Amino acid sequence: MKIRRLLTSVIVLAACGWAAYLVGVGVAAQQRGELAGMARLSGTVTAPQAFRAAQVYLRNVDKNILYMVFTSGGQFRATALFPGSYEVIVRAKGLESPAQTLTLRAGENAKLSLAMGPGQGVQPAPPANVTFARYAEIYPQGPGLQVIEQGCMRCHDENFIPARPASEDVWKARLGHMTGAELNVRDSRAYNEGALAGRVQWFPFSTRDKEEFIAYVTKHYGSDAKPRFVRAETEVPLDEAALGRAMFMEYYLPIDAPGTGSSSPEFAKRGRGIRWGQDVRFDAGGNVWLTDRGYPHRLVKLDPRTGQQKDFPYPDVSNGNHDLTIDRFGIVWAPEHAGLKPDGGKRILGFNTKTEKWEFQVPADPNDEIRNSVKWMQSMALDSKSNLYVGWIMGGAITKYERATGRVKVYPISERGAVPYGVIADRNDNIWIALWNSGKLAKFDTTNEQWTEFAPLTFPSHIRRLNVDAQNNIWAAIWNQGRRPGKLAKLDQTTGRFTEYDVPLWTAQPYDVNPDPEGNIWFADSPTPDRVALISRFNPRTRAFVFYPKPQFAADSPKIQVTREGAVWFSPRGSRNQPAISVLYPDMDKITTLGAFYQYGPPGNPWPSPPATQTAQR
Amino acid sequence: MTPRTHGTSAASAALVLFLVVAAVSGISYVAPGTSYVAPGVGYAASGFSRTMYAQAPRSVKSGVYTVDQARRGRDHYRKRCILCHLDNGQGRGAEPEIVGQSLEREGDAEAPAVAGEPLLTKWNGKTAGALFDVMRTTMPVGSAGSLSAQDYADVFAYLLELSRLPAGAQDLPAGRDQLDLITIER
Repeated sequence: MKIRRLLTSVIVLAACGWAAYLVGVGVAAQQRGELAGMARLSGTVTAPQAFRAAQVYLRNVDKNILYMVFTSGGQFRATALFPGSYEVIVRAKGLESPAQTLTLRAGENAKLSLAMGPGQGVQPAPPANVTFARYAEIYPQGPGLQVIEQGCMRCHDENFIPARPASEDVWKARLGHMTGAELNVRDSRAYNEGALAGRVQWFPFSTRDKEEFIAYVTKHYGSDAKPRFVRAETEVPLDEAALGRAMFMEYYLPIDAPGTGSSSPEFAKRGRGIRWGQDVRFDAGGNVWLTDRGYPHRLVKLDPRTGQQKDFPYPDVSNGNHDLTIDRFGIVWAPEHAGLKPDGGKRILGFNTKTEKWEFQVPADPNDEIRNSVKWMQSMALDSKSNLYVGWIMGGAITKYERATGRVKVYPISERGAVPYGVIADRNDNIWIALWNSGKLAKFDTTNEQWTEFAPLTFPSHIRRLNVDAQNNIWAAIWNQGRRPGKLAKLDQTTGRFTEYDVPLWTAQPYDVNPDPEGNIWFADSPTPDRVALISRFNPRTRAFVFYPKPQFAADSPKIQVTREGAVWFSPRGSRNQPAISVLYPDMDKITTLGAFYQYGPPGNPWPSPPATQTAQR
Repeated sequence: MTPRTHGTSAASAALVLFLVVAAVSGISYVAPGTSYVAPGVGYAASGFSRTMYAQAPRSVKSGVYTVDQARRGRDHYRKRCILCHLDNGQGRGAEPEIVGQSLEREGDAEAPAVAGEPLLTKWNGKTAGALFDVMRTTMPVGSAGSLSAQDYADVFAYLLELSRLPAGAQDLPAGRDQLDLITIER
């Protein structure tokens, strides 16, 4: 009997193994087929002076796709290149090459030599009227500096104040804005207004502090001062060996024809006149979806395997958009943000990726429970039942949209003046929120509707985004503050203890954090005027960081998403001229497909989703 | 005595009264369609002559506000406008863009320049009444209309002063009808 049972088990296991093998072979063959028609390029870069990790830009002119790889020991290589015409240029600090053109055919493995000479290099020229100086020179010791470093710099980086010299009247008005001087007679218009008001801030902003602040800024950044930036005092540590294996791709958004879209008379001025990528997510079919926050607002679908893009205008193209998420039924959820109508009614919008129609327009505060006249939503998360929880960044609450019943309920956040930024769900269906106003993490227990707040070791601080790993730990990114470095913070839910890790980087502003299938934590980091924008990896086991300079030096990227293969997708949001959907492949040799797939499918949790119920599809 | 005769006499009396007042006060009345070119001329405290003066179409170059009014306007500007439009109405466009700080300014106005060449270019050929209406119905952001009509007119006067337009002997009026007679010119 025992032998029979053992034999049965062996046969079942063998069958499962064979089936898995066949599936694997099929997938691999399909993906090999996808990549078989691609080309490769490798070569050598020379320069009259030493350089490290030069950035080689390969732009596919036909498809308007950019590839960027790094040199390692003067050598570079790129793979998975769409056949077509290319322009190639290489840049390093103070060095660049002339552009070369070449055509790559399917399956080709081409070689190229590039020579750099003195040039602008990777760093764009700063504005003509701005000079750089050391931190200590721009911020001399004296009364008032403490207010700036502990009050202002919790959110503003060190360039914000010296870049905007002004009269005492202007500085007083700015201080009045931050302390909410007018909020006793009108509602707040922006979530930063009143952030330093007496009862909601964590710095003792006494009358003396205010006087010292005004005296300090008027003396050092008054009407007669010239705008200044703080010079980065340390270089970004570059691991050439790791960078030599990495490859970025940027699928540029088509620019609207003159007089149309974002260049139309309606939006050219009010809407900044550009397309503006914000947030990316993957559907179950490997497509990448993007919120374009330019005006008119658009939802963009990219098939990375072909480079083909398709745009879908929002129901109201100027009522604000920001984040998105995709549920397991293929609905893209996108709440309305401020837009050009900050005091307009705001809805949770749902787009069906199968019918390609906006099928949900749900009023998110139907009973007007959020009393501020100006209110808008931003981030959201899905629980295991596909219920949606959306944060009112301007309003201090979350809305739950119950999929099975269509019921909407608003829950005010317990902390006064709460500004909910990032919103995520953990494996127990708790909703976690990064409180921008204080630097706390707030947990909403969906079983008893109770709030619990957690203060990291570094508190107060500036946190925008958070996430959860496969072990249900909560990760958050803490921005630097003056001389205090930026940090990654981990909350172990089993012990309730925080652990923090310093980011070894000048002015680290770690934004979104996201785990990969190997347990690494990836984060996006905003640039400074002379420090490149980065996608960065932290290995919690070895505590090692690797920094990947992005193709667009100056474009911040707030949000990142990681595929099952460890590719990191983002949009270079801060780009004025080259809005795009972008991806970093940390190891180009491991690319099996250009499609973007979550490890466990939408909505992208690092654990398998429980079985879907039909009722949730309402 | 017929009503007609009576009317003629009344009109004649009014004309005489006007000429006397005008002579005493030194006012010059300029017919519609011509330019008023006597800023600083003593302006009589006569309701009659003020009405005639105010109804004359004229340019912002002809001294349509007073120095005192601009001082009052500057005080309002410092309290309600300077946060966004900065010193001298230069607007945020004068600030350098800082790499890494996103384009995001949700909830913040773009705050264009509101004085000098940018103002005069944008509003060239339009009436002061049109600009006044925009100020009154949109500014300050979040509390539009929260100043009195006179306060808005005072701020307007300060913007004209910042734009190096000459002051005159008479306050910029706060009534839309009167402001519509004033044309903004570069």
